[in-house]
Amino acid sequence: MTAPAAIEVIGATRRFGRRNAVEDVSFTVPENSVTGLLGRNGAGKTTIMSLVSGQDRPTSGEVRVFGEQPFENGRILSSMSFVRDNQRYPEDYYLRHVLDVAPRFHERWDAELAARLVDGFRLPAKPVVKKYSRGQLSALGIVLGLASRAPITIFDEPYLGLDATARAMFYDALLQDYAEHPRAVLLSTHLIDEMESLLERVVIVDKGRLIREDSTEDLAGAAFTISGIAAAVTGFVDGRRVLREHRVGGLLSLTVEGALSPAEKAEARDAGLDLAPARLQELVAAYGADLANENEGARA
Amino acid sequence: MSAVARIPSPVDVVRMHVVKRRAVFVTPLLIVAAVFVVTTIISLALQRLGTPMEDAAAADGARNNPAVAWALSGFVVSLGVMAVSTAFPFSLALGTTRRSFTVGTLLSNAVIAAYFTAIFVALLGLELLTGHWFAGIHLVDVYALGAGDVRYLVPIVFLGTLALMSIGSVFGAAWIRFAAPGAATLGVALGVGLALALLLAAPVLPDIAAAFRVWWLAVAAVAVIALASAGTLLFLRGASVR
Repeated sequence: MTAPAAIEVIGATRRFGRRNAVEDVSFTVPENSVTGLLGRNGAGKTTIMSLVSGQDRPTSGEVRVFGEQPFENGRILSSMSFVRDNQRYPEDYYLRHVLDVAPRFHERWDAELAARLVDGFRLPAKPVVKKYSRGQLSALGIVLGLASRAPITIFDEPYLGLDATARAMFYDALLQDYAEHPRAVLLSTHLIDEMESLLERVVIVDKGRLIREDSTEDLAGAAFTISGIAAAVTGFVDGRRVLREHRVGGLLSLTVEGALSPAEKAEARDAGLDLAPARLQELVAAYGADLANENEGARA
Repeated sequence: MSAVARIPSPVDVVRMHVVKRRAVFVTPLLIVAAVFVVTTIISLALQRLGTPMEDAAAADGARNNPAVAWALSGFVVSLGVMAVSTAFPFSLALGTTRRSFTVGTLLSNAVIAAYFTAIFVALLGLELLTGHWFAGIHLVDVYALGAGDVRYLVPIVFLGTLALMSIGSVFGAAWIRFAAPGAATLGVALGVGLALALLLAAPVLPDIAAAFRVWWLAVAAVAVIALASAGTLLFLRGASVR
């Protein structure tokens, strides 16, 4: 049985001047799931999160959260936490001010978890928050998002500036808290390899358009990489959709959409070609490169 | 997990603004203290130059000192600007509606204006009780603040502070909505509007001056507060945080 939708984006377009930051995007985030919003810089991830969190309105199309449109909807907005990667804090705010105020806005705020995270991330009581380093700001955003226990928790590249230890701490805290208090988590990331195990679903966007929406399980079989002597590789994939190409001398490595039958796999091995399922990171990079190539082709 | 039951109210937004007690409540006291020191130095210097401060004419001259009002007005406007420009994005991150944020900011401005009023009433009491700080010094007992009459002081400080903060807030909202050009355009538009109004009203200004009543200022302040708050909501409703 499919989980009910926490977030539905239906044909949403957001235009800034003449530029479409997001164009006719549709996807669903089920309740109690961790969904990754993936794509290159400028793909439209933050704009999509702004639309979902009611911090912005679509120029056309629709966004629904728990079945209602979020913009100026107090009931829905109070069920959300969305801390931007470049989140601004009130002037003269210290850490204690943030921790004092946040519980008033989040009904399910967990002060104990917040204190544990602040301690773990070693967030200083001084200086003022606006003088925090990049990593400290990210850590504060993680504290706000996780401790809020908001039914819709959105993280915008939450790892920026964090060292490896702090990132691992975030992943552990997210997993543990999500297991104890399931909710809809939507997070954007470029560290796909690191976070892949956290994600149940992914939404891939590029240049404001939806490229693919699927469960990570289904995506795992959505493409494969094949490498070997260039002529043999090219001959083998003839007729298939190549997402990405990487050439070193006479060797060629391709990321190819689709799956291979056992017979095709055997044929590839016989031809001396190496096969491997495409990792999510490769797939996202490939979709980005693929779309860029298509656009260049269209311009030519 | 379903939607939460409790929706944050404007009172929570007030808390968000006034939680930084030092910036909101201590800084104005420091400004008043600085003005008091400067006023005292100037007054003592005048006395040493031979100006008799117990003299009625000298006291009248000292009442023309609006230093404390001017010194605080800049701070008050900046509080109003920051209450919107830096707090609005954080407020949205916490899940507040724009309407709730605007109402909460207006309430917060009113709380701060009431605090300022209480400070000034207390200072006036002390000033009158000590015979103008034992040295003929006029800090609060000045014409700009009602010339020592608490019935004038309270509405002047409360409405004046609230009006200045509201003006600051609408500029902060214009900045959020249209960035620097928005705030600059609003400033120019207000300046041109006031100049045009003055130009149009010039022929009847003597009549207006003759009919002038002090309560007009209170009505004007309330109108400014209402218009600025409506403008703030209007700008913020169309603003997207980027």
